[in-house]
Amino acid sequence: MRSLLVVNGSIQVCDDAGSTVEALAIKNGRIVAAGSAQSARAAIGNDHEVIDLEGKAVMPGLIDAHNHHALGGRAALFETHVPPTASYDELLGYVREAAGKTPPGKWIFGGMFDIGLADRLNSAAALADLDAASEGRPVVLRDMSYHNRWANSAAMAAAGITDETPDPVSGTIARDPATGKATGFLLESACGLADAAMEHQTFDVSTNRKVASHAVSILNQFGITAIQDPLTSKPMAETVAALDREGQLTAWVVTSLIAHEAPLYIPGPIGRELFAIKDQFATEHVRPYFAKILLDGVPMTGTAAMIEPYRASAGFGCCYRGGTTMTLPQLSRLLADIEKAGLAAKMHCAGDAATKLAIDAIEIIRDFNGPSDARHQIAHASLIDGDEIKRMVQLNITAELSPMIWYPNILDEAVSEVLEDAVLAKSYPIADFLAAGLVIAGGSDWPVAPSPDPWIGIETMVTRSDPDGIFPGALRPEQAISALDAMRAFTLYGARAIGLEKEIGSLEVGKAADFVILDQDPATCAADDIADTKVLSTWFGGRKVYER
Amino acid sequence: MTDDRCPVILLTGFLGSGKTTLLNRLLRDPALSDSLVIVNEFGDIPLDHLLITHVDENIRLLDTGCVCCTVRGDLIDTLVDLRDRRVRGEIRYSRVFIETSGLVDPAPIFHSFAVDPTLTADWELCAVVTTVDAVNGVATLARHEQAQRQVGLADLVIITKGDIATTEQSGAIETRVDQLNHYAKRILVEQDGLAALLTSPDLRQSFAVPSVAEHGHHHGHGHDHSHPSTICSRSLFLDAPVPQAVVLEWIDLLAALRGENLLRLKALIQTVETPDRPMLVQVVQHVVHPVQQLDAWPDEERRSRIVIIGDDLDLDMIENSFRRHLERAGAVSSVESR
Repeated sequence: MRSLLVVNGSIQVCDDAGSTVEALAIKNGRIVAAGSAQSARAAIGNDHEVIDLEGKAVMPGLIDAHNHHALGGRAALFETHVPPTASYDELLGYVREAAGKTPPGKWIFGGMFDIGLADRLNSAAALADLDAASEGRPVVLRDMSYHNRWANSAAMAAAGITDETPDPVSGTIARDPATGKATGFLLESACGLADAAMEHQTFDVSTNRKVASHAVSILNQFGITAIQDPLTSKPMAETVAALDREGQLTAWVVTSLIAHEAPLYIPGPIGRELFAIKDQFATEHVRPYFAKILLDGVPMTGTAAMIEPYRASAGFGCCYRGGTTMTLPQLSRLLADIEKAGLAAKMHCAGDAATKLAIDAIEIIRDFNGPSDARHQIAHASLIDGDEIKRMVQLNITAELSPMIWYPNILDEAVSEVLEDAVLAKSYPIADFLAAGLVIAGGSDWPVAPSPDPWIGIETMVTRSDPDGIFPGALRPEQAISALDAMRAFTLYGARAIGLEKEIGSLEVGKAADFVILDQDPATCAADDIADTKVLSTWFGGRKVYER
Repeated sequence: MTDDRCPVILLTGFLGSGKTTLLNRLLRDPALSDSLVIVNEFGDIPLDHLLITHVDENIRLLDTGCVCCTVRGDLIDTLVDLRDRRVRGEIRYSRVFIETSGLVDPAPIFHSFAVDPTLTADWELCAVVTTVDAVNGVATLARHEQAQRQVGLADLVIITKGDIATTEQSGAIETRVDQLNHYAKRILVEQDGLAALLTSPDLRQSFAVPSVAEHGHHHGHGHDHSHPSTICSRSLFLDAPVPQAVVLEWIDLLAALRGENLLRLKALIQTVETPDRPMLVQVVQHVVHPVQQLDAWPDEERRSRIVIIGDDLDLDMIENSFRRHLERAGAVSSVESR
């Protein structure tokens, strides 16, 4: 690999000191000098390529700490997109259109339909409509919550679902109220039946590779060169490891091996069985460092576990608090297993009761087992106040943030409808996190968020406002952080949170030459322009992997 | 609650420590004549049963292997068969001794009695009795970790061969056993009262309730460097009643997270819910036995106590975890340790 001399730019190193330099020297994919042009030139021999930045901005490749790359790649390559606003007839129209583009016998799948259509979909007549629209191709569509599916007759046949099939534990195969026949409307764990059939008939090793490669190429376009996959199955980990061994992977992937049964279909082993084979997935750029635990759901569906009750509602009545998926002793045992396997936990905690449970359990593990280097993560750390933040710092817990959705928008409005103002007053205390010395990391949650675009998240951490200007106002503006800190949440701090701080996260000597060339410097441009930042090129290990 | 489960006494002790001699002696005692013995001998040629006299019809021999592993199924089958024959009126017995091979870790047998549904309804493991030889015991304990664990697990330690030991040897073995398991009752095999102890109607409680000042002195957290050992113990006392769920949760966590290093835990807990009826908890390694609620306090000292015997367990850390667990739950009680 030829050495590189990057000169004549405004280079944000994204180190703790907040340094800027004018040049980088890169040898064998690593940074060997960062400073003046003269020092950079002195660090490498004559045989090098020069990149003249012509004053453009450079920063480290971005790190997305919550990126379901395989699901995003699937959505981009194969899924049928149905907007949640689609009416019943429009929904069938999308299926008809997909059928025209899908070879006979191949699956049509995607999302997301409006759950408000549930009664209409749960009937023999609707099933007949769906069968007609798909012209015999198996169909399985998700609703907007990801918790329910609508499948047609071919999909049910492939999944082995008949009118006589009993409901699985914590799931329902809905039946037509008049005829008692299965309608294809599947709730909660019953989704797994159709998902498994679709998965087995659609995704093999080569398709999985195509999906992962496509996903990473999308990420590279946004300047992302490292992700933490937040819910990793064996096939996903195998796929990225195989790509990397062949030199085809252009991003670091830290996996979060699924730790427990979850209400969704996971191909392959989970928990201890999966942890036991983690080293099979370890390559230069694939690091099996985490296990994933889902401790609760989301506030909108009343599945986030809250310390104070939700607003009283018709559905849940008064004093409803949601609940966690496990108890303190259960979680403590699971965490002990995870640490024993040499992993840290990434714990999905949408509600403050889930966060408290996670912190309590880690405290218990430390009490019983003594100190450890494990750096556990709270994913979507959103409703946390002073004492809990202090405990997180003491226990070496990191906070993974979701700034791509944490600003005035339609989701935020939905959360405001279900949670009390006093609870919302604790929302997204990012400035408090930094002041307390907590390690923070930005994540997109792609494809739950429709785009992995990190520039949106960097801007909203600075402005706390809607980058599109559609929703007015700012959400707790006192919790805004500087642009440099927001950039570091996606670089230096993110690397610490996902365990890659020795490799990446800043343009310091010794680290990988992962960097992006930008059309503007997000650290110095107007705050409400940050989201418009364009990536001109993305470099991974000193190699150009994307150019605009 | 009336409990008509048949008491089981598990007899352990290292090879040559006098288990068989003890059994012979016990079974000659008229007070124990209604006892049944299950003998396990590891190896091809079962010898020990030949040494047991007078009670042939009441001896069952398990000789397919070590009772803690391969033979556990046989042990269970034997017990089920004995129960059936008693129900049919074919045999009578009031208690069962299980003599284990000298090499055995008794903990797995303990677990079977705690959790195996084919046993829990009819049998209750009331006591682990460990024999220690006054002449060779100190040397055996120094050489064999298994021997230390057997003492660590014991409710009652019986010192054998005291009649042929020197005064010095007798003193040394007393000291050593006390270091390993300060909380077990200790008795010399020749001493009167052994049969009475094992036939007491309070057999169940008398061993399960943690005794905290059995020998009038204790060794605290000190180490005796002449006998390095990983076996360690501590007792904790609480000065106020505590919520049942909080203590059970901590015990549950201790068993789950540190079970490998926990030989035994016995706890008598004064709960906020029923302060006059203490809760009795036993743990062997990772298995928490079904919690019993006593009808009354068994002795004068009406305060919660927890006795922990560990093997390579950091007791300061464990004690601290208990304090913090109470704090986290907002339970008000101070913890005193010995």
